Amino acid sequence: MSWRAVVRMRLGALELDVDVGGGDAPVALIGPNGSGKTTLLRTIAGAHRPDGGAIRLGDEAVFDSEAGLDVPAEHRHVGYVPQGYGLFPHLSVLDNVAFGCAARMPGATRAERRARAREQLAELDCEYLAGRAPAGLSGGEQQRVALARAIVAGPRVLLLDEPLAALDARGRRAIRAFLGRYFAERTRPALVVSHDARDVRELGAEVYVIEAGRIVQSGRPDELAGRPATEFVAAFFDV
Amino acid sequence: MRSPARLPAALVALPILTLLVVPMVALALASSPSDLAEAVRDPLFAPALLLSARTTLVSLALVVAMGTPLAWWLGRSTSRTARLVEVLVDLPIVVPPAVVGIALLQTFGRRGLFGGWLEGLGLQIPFTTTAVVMAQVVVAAPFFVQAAASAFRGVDADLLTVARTLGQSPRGAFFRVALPMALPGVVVGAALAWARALGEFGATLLFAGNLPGTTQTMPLAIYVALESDVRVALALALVLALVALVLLLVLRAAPALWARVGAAAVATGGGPDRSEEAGGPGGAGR
Repeated sequence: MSWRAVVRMRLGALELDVDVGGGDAPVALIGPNGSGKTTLLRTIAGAHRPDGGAIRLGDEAVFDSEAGLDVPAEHRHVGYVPQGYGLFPHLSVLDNVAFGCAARMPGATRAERRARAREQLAELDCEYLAGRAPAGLSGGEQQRVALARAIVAGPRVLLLDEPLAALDARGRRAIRAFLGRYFAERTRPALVVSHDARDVRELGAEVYVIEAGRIVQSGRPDELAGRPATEFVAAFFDV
Repeated sequence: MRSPARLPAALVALPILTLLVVPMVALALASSPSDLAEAVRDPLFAPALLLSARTTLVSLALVVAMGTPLAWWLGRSTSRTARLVEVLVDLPIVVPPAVVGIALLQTFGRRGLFGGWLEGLGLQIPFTTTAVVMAQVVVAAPFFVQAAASAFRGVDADLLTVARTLGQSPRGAFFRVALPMALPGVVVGAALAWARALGEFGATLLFAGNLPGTTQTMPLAIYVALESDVRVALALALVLALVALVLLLVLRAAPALWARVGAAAVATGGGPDRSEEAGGPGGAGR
């Protein structure tokens, strides 16, 4: 499947005007702080309503300003993992993940949802965390639980905001290994915000560079490193 | 670790501490058990106690039911209108209760703003139990709305977005994520509002009067009893003071208690059951 987001909006001091898209493979989004990366992710997720543009996920248009279409977040089927992981502090790890099952398993009993959640946790090697409270977990553990919760819902597109930032070396390794396995599957549409050239290269992804709300360059990491369009791109790839 | 600078500070604080604590002690020592037993049998006592219990519970329910949506909006909105409304909501806190009473009369009294209209409907509000409840709602609501709004403000917007992407309707996200997270603050607000309603005197006296069994709540009964039988006034005062003390202790202990209950719920893998049940309408929103 493919997806595309054409977004024009003003939010506070930020003026976003971008056109990004991807196919079955993950796409990376890089840019300086305040350039609109997180806003774009939230907008695709349905948290902000753009002033203009269109968002299409696979065959389905979820936003179209001309057609007056704005599909609410709960019907977009995107997985959003914010910076800070966004775990619900009042629920155990298992129930956080079971929360993600609700959409995909309507009518399932609590026990069924929990069983599915347990499987998903096991896939991320963190079933042992099931009974814990999110507050007591390390960053890497929280990120794995957050990923499990987003993935268990069966999203059409995964939106990850700096999934490897703020993790210690061990956490990074674990998440990187999981994402590597996860994205090796044939159909894994995703938009991943990153600030690390190594992660971007490892993702093997098409890269969009956003600065001050505009896409200034896009392409494969080697192309960008070879012909950086801006100082930011040059510094990012250390050339 | 007594530093020399602390001693004078303590000395300065002593008079006000004395003023805060000693009257309460005096109140506690004032009545003998037999005095109390007799006071409780006084015809003033039971009706006032029951009326206070009834009216404050109704006003608390109204404050929570109407104040929660308002607090949610105030806590989430960044608009200028919301900031203005926030100031308006706080008005009854700074306005003296007597002024609130007069203002209510000017609104719902026979010659008030809605007076003619209410009369046409055959409704009389002043000097009824309804008026008692209305006065309590007006003076108590700001305490609840303020506390609940600040609790809702503390809920990270990203968590609500995540809940929505996981299939929750706005309603589902509120009941399954925002409300459980803000609950400690909401409960504290409700307790403060209830305490304020229970102590309400001035606005009630002016707007609802002082009719035994209908509008004579405990604070008003204290006022009346003081002229006839001091022992009854003391007994009523003791009951109110006791309720206040319990409330204060619960509020103080609440954060620690909450953390422990929450940890226990998470440890059993249970989490709050409430949220699971709410999953029905939210989860099926697809």
